[in-house]
Amino acid sequence: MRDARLRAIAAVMPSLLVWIGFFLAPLVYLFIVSFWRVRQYRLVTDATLDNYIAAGSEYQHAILFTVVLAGFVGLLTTVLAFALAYLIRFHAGRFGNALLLTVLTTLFGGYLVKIYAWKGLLGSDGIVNRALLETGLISQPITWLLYSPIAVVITLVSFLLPYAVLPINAALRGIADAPIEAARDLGARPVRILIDVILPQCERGVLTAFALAFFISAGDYVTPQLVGGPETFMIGNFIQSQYVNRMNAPIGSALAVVTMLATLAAVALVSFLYRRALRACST
Amino acid sequence: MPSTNDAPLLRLTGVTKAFGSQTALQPLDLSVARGDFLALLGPSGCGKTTLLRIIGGFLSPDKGTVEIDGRDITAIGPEHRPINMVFQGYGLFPHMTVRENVGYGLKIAGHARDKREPQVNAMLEMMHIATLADRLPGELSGGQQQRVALARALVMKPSVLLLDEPLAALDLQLRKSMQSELRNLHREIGGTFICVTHDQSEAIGLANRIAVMNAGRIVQEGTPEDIYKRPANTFVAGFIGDSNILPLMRRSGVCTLASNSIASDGPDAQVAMMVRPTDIQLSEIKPTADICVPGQVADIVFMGDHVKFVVVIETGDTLAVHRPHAECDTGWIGRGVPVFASWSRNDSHVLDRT
Repeated sequence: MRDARLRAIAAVMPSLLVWIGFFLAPLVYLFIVSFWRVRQYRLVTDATLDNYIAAGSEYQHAILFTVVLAGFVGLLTTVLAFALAYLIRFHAGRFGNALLLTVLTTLFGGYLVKIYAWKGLLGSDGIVNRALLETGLISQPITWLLYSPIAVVITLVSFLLPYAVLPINAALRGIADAPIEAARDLGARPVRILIDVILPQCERGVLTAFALAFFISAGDYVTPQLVGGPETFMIGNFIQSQYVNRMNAPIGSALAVVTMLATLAAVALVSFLYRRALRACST
Repeated sequence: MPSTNDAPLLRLTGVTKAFGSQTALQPLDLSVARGDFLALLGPSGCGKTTLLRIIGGFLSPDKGTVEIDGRDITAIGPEHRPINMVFQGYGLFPHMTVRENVGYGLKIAGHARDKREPQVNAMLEMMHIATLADRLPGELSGGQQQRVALARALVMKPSVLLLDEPLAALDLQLRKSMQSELRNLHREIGGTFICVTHDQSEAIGLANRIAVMNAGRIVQEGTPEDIYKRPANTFVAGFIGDSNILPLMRRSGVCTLASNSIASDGPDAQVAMMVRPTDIQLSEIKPTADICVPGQVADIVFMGDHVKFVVVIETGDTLAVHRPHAECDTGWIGRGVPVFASWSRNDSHVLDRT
C-alpha cells in the first residue's frame, strides 16, 4: 500500500519538477516582479501598485480589445471545429478518418508559414483580390483584407482550427449511438438531439477547444505584428514592447497578470454561459 | 382506416434489405397481431436486428412495405412512428436524471410539465424505480437501467414496443427475474411487444409467438410449443432446445435407421430424424418400441436436475439421452455397457436437411 503510493509519487516526480521549475516558478516570479519598479534601467524591489494602476488606465483598451478579438477567434474556431468534427462523426461515414487526417496534415505547415500564406492570399495584389478583379466583381482591390483585425482573425482561425477539432472529435466519439437513436425514437428532431443529447455530452471537449483557441489568440503578438497593420495592437505587443524596448519588466508583468486573470475570467464566464444556454434551450 | 381486431396490427410485406453486396433480408412477410409478444430468434447475423430496425424506422427496406393498423409507414422516420424501442445497452441519456429520461418523449411531444409529471410518476411507480427518480443512469445497476429504458419507452404508450436483446446485458439471476417481469408487464398493459434475441430459452420464456430466423429468412413461425414440438427443419430443431439429429436417406417413402423402417412421405432425399434427449428410453433388454437401436454408453454426466447419457448407436451416430437420477441408481447401467435406445414414432420427426 505504502509502496504503491511511493511509486506513484516517484512516477509523477519528473514531470512535476519540470512543471514547477519551468512554469510555476517563473509565474510566481512574474507575479512578484509586477510589484517592483525600474530605476535607471535596473529592477528595484518594492511593493507598489503603480504598475497595476497603469495597466488599468493606459492599457485598459488594449486588454479589452484583446479579450474581445480573442473571444471572437475562439468562438469562430470552436463553431467551425464543431461543425467539422460533427461531420466526421455523423455524416462522413468511412471517409471520416480520411477527413480528420487531412485536417491534421495542415499541422505540418508551421505557424509562420501560415501567416505568410495568408499575406499572399489577402494582400492588395493577393490571390483573393486578383481573382475578384479578374471576374469583375470589384474594380478596386479590397484594402481592408490585409493589415486589419479581420486579417488577424482569419489567420488565427485557420491556424487554430486543427487544434480545436481534436478535443471536440474525441468528445463526439465518446458519445454512443444508442442515446442519439433513442432521442430520435422518442420524437426528437436533429436540432433537438444536438441541443438535448449531443452538446451536453461533449461540454468538456467544446470548452477545451474554446479555451485552447482563446488563450493562444489572447497571448499572440506575432500575428498582429505581421498581418494586423499599424492600428491592430493586441496586449501581447504591448507586453513585448515593455520587456524588450522599454526594459520595464514590472509594467510588462503587471499587464501579463491582468491579461491572464481577464482571460481566465472570460473562459469561466463562457463555461457558465454554455451550461445556462443549454439548460434554457432544453425546456 | 378503421381496423377490426382480427386484422394484424403490424404487417410487413415483401421486405428486403442488402448492405452493399451483403444480403441481410430475403423477401420476407411478417404479421403481428394486437397483443402479441413476438420473439425474433436466430443466430447472430441472421437479420433479426435488421428486421427490428426496419420496423422501428431506423433502416428503410430496399423493397416492400411496413404497415401499422393498415397505414403504410414505410417512408416515415422513427420520430413519427407510434413505435418505441428499448435499445441494446439501453441508450439512456447519461446526463439526465431517471425522471428526465422517462419524461423526455412527453416533453418533446409538447406536454407541459404539470401534465407530464403524473404520467412519469405513475410509470416510475409501475417499474418500481420511483425512489431512483433523481439519480443519473451511471449510478444505477444494470437491472435498474433496464427498468428506466422500459419506462422511457412505455410512457409513450406505443402501439408496438420493440426490444433489442433486452436481457443480454444482465447476469443470469437477474435475467430470469427480469424475464418473468417482462411477461407480467406485457400481460398487465396488454401491449404488443417484439423482441430480438439469440437465446432460445429467453424466446420460449418470454414470447407467445416465435419467428425463427436464419440467413435473412423467417424459417418458421408459431407458438413456442409448435416450434419446440414440430420444428420445420433441422436448423430449427437444432436451435430450439436440445435435440438429436440423425441423418437418414429417404427412398420410396421409407427411411431406414439401423433395423428400423420408418414411413415418411416425400421425395427421395437426404433427410434427418430429430428426437429430443428427454424422449429416449434406455433399457438392458430389447424393448417393444416404435424405434429401437442398439448401442453402447460412452459417457454419463451428472447435470444437476437430470443425468445425461452419451450413447454411441449402431449407425455410428451419437445420441444424448436425458434421464432422471432414479434410473441411474438401479445399477445395471454404467460406462461401456451395451444398451437399447428406444423412442416412439410420435416423439420423433423426419425433417428436411438445411
